[in-house]
Amino acid sequence: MRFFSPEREDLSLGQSVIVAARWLLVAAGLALALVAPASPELLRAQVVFVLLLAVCNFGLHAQILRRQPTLAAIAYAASAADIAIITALVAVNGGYASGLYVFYFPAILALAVAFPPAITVAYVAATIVLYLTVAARGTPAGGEEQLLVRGLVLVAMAVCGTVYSGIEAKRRRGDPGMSRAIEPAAAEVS
Amino acid sequence: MRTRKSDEAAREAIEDVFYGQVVMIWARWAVVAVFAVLFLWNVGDVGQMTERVLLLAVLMAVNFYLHGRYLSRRPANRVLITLATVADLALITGAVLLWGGFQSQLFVLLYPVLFAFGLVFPPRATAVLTLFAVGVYAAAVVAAGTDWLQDVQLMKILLVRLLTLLAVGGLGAYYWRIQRQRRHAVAGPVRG
Repeated sequence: MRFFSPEREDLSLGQSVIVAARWLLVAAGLALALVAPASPELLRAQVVFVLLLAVCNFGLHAQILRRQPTLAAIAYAASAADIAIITALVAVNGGYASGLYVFYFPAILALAVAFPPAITVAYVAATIVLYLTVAARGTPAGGEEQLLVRGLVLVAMAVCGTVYSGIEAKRRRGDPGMSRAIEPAAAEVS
Repeated sequence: MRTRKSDEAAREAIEDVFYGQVVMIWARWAVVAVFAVLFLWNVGDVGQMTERVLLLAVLMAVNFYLHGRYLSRRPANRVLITLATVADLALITGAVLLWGGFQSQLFVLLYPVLFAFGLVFPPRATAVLTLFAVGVYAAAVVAAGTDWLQDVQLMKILLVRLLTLLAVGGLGAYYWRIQRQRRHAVAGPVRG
């Protein structure tokens, strides 16, 4: 596969992580929706969202399989749709009380390794704002503490992904500073 | 030829640990931040507060030590960072067991710890650690109480947690493989 720039390569290769994360979300979401649904309305909403996600993901996966370059706008829109769908599922499932917020973690992980840091920051900030908006409904007294913890962990996932992809970019470029660092320490680390 | 390849593979594994461990250090700072929030948010009696602040200080000291070594270009070896990760998992699942079991929200701290480990270590090691973490967390939840077993919706919530923990470990390992292939593609003509 040929790429025009390192950023495009990051996006294209990171896109396969995003697609894999989305298939996990689809499989887990569908299985959990169909097992002992709480109500027909909730089941309908969950199935519609999940199937919509599956169709979009099939389109993106087909693009990867045909080795076509990833269009940045489509990749960004698809990840925005992931966050919107997870937020919608959390909203229809009870807001603060919903346990489905954990689906944000693989979604943020995947976009943090694929997108440039500035875009990742924007997505994480938007995710936290959206989540707090839907979770505000039904937050019990003292629940703010838990919301802060969840927000911190979302940020931590993004930081880990961004820091690691930055390190890997330097390693591929053969950054001289990194080579100097490894030589004296290699024996100690082994 | 084979010796040269195995030497390069060994060097690459060393570099993975050398460069990658800062991700694990940042993941641990997230754990420290969350514990700080939880310990300081609701100040109960002074004795309880003192115990918790001591625990927090130990966690911070360990991470200052590891971060300091990294900054001084003398990072910890793979045994030490694996032990530190296992200690993180023990601390988090211990806190889950003691402070709420199924109801405890501290399990969210397992996500950055597993993700960071997956980015640094080979997939086989990540698979072992992820399964270990999921098993220990499930055991802690069961050991703390089984009331949630009577409600199928609560069982589904636990299943979602376990699945997403497995997914995060798996995605970390998948990205590790992608990056390794990219490095080989770049270095191929030189190394080959």
